[in-house]
Amino acid sequence: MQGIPPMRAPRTPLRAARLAVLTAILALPAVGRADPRLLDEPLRVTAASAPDLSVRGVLLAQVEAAKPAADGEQKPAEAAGGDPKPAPAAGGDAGGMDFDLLGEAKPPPDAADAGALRLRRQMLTAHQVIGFGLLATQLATTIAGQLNYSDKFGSSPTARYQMTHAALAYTDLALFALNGAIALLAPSPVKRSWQMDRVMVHRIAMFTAAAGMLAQGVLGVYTSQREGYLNQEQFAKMHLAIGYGTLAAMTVGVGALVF
Amino acid sequence: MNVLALALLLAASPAGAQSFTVDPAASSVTYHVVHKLHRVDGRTSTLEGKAVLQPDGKLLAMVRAPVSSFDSGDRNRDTHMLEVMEASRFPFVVVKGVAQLEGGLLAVAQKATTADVKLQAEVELHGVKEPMTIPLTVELRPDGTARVKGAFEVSLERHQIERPSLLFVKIDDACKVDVDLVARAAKP
Repeated sequence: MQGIPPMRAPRTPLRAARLAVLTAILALPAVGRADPRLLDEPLRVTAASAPDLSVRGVLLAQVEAAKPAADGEQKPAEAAGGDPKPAPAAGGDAGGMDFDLLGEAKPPPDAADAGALRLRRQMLTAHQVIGFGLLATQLATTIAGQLNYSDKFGSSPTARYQMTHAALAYTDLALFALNGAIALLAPSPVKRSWQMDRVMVHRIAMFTAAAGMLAQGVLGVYTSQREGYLNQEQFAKMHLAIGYGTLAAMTVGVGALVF
Repeated sequence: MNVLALALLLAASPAGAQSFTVDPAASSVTYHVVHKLHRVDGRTSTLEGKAVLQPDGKLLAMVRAPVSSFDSGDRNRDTHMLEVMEASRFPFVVVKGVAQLEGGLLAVAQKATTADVKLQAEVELHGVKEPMTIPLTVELRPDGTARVKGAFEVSLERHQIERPSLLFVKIDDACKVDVDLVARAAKP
């Protein structure tokens, strides 16, 4: 029994010509295969043909540009008579640091006066030193005040802490006024927007302490004038409580800047 | 047809020096200084930055920030910083450097990953220029930008900066700087 012979494509000259044309079309660069357009459609550069401005795209372009050189061929730029050197912006010695890519800098609008900054620093350094002394004095005054209160309104008053407390209190008040004046008079050459920061916490705490200090002074003098009156102890207790409050506010104020 | 042909010609033209511009809104430079009692971080996004990539793979980069733009969250400290940095005489911090990207970033661009680049840099702070090598990580992001991150340390005394003190204790001499920049390719 004779089998059926396998079918073979006839290799006619016509079919060979068709294949050759198809291969040639496929081998054409993209420019030769532009998408068909309607005649009334505005002509525009497609995304595929626009330069890729992503960083990666630029780097890939660099790779492509470097390839012919690596193969020992002439670079396209050189072939076209172009200048392969960097743009003038890069200027100077490319191997060193003698280049300026950003040009002349405009001075910042908030350039501060150096003299005012120096004076401010000196005043605030003094403020810092006096501040620590003030905190120590406030602590000592509060302790002396507590001892004075316990002694005066205890079973057998001796008044032995009275002078100490008064001396410390006046010193404290004087230091507070001096230190507050230094802070308020220090120049502020840099204008900054108000914000809730450590300095703001310090200021709030110190204004609270200032109010306490003022109340302490008035109440302290008034309490001492209530000698012999039944309500003297009540005023003294209030004076003592405000003293602790003032000490707490001052501690917060100092702590806000230190820690 | 002429317009299309021109565009194709431009796209296929040899790559010359390409420039990249830092996007300040997406970038920041932060310094960190340490005192015995606390650590201070000051940040700025007021930046100018540019890089030029030459055809041979050499990258030139320069970033500049006004000293007065750093914000540490404490106005008093920032004002003091202006004084020790003598901001009126030396209003800018400038970092510029050179890196060779052959086989580095250029190769990485084909893989779309990250690359480590060593920038031979010069840091100008308080008017004093100091050379140093800054290790940078460059990430090529899908949105077409490059994110550059790195850190380096400067010595305050080497830059002749009087170290501020608190409670008569000076801050550490080492000032660490973190760089986080986003760069975009500039239009030719």
